[in-house]
Amino acid sequence: MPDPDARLLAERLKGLPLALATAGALLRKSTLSFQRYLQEYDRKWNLDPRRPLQLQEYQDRTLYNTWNLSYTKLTSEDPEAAQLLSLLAYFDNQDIWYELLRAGVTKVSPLWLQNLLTDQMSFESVMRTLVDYCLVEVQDKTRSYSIHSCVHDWALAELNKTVDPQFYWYAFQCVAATIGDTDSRHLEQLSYARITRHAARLVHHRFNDDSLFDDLMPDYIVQAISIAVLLGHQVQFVAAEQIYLRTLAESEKVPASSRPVPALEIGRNLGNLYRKQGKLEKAEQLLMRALAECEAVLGPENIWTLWRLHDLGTTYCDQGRFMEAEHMYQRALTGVAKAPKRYTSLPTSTRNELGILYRLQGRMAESKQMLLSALSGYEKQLGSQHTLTLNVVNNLGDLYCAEKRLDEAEEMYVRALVGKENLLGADHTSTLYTSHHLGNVYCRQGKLQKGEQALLQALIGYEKALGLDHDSTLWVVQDLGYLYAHMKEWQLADEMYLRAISGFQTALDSSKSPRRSAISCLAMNLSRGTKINKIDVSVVRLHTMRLIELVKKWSRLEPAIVVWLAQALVGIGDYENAQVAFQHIARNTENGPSEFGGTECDSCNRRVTVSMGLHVCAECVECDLCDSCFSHYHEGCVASLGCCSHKFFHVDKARILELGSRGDDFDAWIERLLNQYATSRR
Amino acid sequence: MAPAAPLLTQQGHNFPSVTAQGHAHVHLGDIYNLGPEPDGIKAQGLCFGFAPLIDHRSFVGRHSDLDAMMQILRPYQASVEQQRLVLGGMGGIGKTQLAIAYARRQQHNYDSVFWLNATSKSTLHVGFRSIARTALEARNVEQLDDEQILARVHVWLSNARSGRWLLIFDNYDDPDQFDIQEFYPNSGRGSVIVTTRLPDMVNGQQLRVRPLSTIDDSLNILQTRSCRHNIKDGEPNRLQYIV
Repeated sequence: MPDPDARLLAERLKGLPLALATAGALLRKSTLSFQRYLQEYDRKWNLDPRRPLQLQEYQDRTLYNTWNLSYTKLTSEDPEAAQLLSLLAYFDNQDIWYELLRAGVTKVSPLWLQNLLTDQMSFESVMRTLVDYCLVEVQDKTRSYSIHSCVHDWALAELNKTVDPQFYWYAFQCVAATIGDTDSRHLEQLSYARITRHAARLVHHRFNDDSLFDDLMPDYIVQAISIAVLLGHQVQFVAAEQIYLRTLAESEKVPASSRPVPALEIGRNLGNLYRKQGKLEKAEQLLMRALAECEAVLGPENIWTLWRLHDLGTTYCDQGRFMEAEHMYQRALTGVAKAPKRYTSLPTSTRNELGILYRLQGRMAESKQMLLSALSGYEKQLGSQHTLTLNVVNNLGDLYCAEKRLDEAEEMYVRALVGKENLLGADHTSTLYTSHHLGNVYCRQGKLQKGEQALLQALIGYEKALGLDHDSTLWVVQDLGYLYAHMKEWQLADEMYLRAISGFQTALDSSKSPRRSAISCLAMNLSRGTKINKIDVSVVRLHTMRLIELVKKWSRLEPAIVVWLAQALVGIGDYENAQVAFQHIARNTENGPSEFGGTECDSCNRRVTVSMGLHVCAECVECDLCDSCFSHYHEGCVASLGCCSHKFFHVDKARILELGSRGDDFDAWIERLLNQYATSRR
Repeated sequence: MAPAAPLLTQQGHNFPSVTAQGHAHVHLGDIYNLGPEPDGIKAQGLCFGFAPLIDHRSFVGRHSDLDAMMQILRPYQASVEQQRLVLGGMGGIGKTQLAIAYARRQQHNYDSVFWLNATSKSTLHVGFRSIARTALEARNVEQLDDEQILARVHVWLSNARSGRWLLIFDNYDDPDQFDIQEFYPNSGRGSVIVTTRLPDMVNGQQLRVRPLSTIDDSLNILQTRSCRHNIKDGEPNRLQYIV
């Protein structure tokens, strides 16, 4: 199997043969993994400057002194060009243009820089020298300049052995001034990706030095917030977080009463950032604090306070605390209605969130009403081609999808996706979200190739933007597993399930109060992984064991996971225990045995009740049928599900009804089951 | 012996730097006393000297660059004009290896290929001295000074019997220090490749060397150098295939 980090390393060294050869030679002589090498490279650049690695065929040339030679000559020839090169280490290497550098000029900027940037001609002529030295490249398409990433790494490591505060704050100023007072609702757009790269550079680990922040500019807080907002909107969550944390620490150095009003934004923004990253406990904490601060400083009726109610509602909704979420949203809406001024953007946003909340609660009609109202609101305020408008379109797709109106859902998703790709680019998480959901719809429509393509696009994008273990990434992995199982690509499906299982397990282990969604996702993937694996007996048994343990530990918090255990037991042919599991599921309701934990018939789409009867396919990941659909099944009426010839397990109705109301032997049964599977392991 | 210098000029040889220094005439006779001319061409083959040679398997990609070099240097064509190619690009981009790969690939079109380190005047003189040792068969090479050696090698290169040659001037990165053109022979029966980080300062047809364009080429280098086996897959995996 190729190591994905080898590819990352190759991309990092950007096709520069000397750098690649040096890295390769070092890896040959060491036990470092590619990942470790990359980390070391980023930390120290070329690893050990005191003992630089020489390639055997080059007598005196190392990666380290390759460009020092050019630089020495440049310094004597054109000292300003040499200084500019050092300054460029504080910017990103890809897209450097005149107006960006010009934006940061103030009266306190270094004189040579002021002169150099007085007009574009003198800037271009200095850059031309750097181009002559092959240290900088012209980018014709964007009419800008770029530096090879390795040269750029060297410029920071070698030309800036100590970080120059004047250079750092100059770059900071350039970014802040370029953002200016742009409406933050537009910062998501692709056109701001250009400046985002330079904003992200400001939190390079070399610049994480307290002494840099000793002598802050008066506007620092306001500017830092605007940079962090940009980073957050452009999905550079880690960089945004770093700036917020730094700014929060700086703002707390002065007493609350003398802090500037924008400082109130920091906690709120950071909270929302954590929410987007799925760190809901942290988000809740910060948002509660932000709400209290705002109520104290600005009063409970202030629009800023109302926005914080809205934010908190969204976090509750993500946590599955729907009642509290609705309460927050309603408070925000009431507050806005009573306000003396007419505010439009808060109520529209809140209606959108309420639409999502109602859908999650199964209140479809109310959800649709809210979403349509939010859609018309945004269309009036921002037009049909704005990211906020398109988000509502996406949410309507989610609603139609939940109502199984797949064609309408597809239409909504496609509309949202096309718009987002234009506005935000294909790599933005908001675009990826829509792509993921569109992929699922394709899958359910049986358009498997299209589904695979959309899901893979989402997967690759999420891996890049959010990392391998983020919930959003894992959800795509899990859905890809489902898709591959449909395509009968068992090997690929198995890989996906294994990955999802280990991801959700990590999420579960690392959190003190695990989310119900992580538990149920883990159970679902273990169950599906068991069902589709027909070859590897040891994997099947391992999955089953883990699933039983999971049920033992968490079924009180998340009763739905027993259904996944029952499905897995059907899959491995343990029908006796499957029957017992279904009995427990059916009895685990207030009013005696009724439903099978919300299991729906995959043909008539009704929730299956005990009296309707339940047939579970022993081979497919998910194919459950009621008595009447099952009787038609072999006549070919619902043959589209594609498992006519499969063996089905029939849940024995009589045994469920016999047992009457709930029993208390569940724990004993699980314990027995655990022992049974533990002893069968040899 | 004094009249010898004008004689040289009259015969159409053009060695301004040599005559100006006033000692070319001392050994003038030697130039014509290289011993009996052999009948065939005195091919020297590939003379890479101290060039940083890498295993030819470690050289990857660059097909379009090699094609472009062919277009400029036209090694397959008997030409009377010296072809000059300037390979420009930043340090580490692979200019040297590209020049060497070109020479290896086109060696059937050249009788002799010489690699010269052009970092400074003195490294160049060392290089020309080593050409003199292999090509001139003269017994007293060690007693000649640098300028004399240069003159002799130039004469040798201009001789039709030396056949077609290629000179690679590698790492000419400091054009202010000296003029590389002083080291070019006048003969048209050969080609010159100069590698430099300041291509705009050197005369000749320019070719800019860029980073490797495909990730596969990069991975190949990592693989051959690191000798690790978990870099590339025989089959492209599904993700790469679809994207």
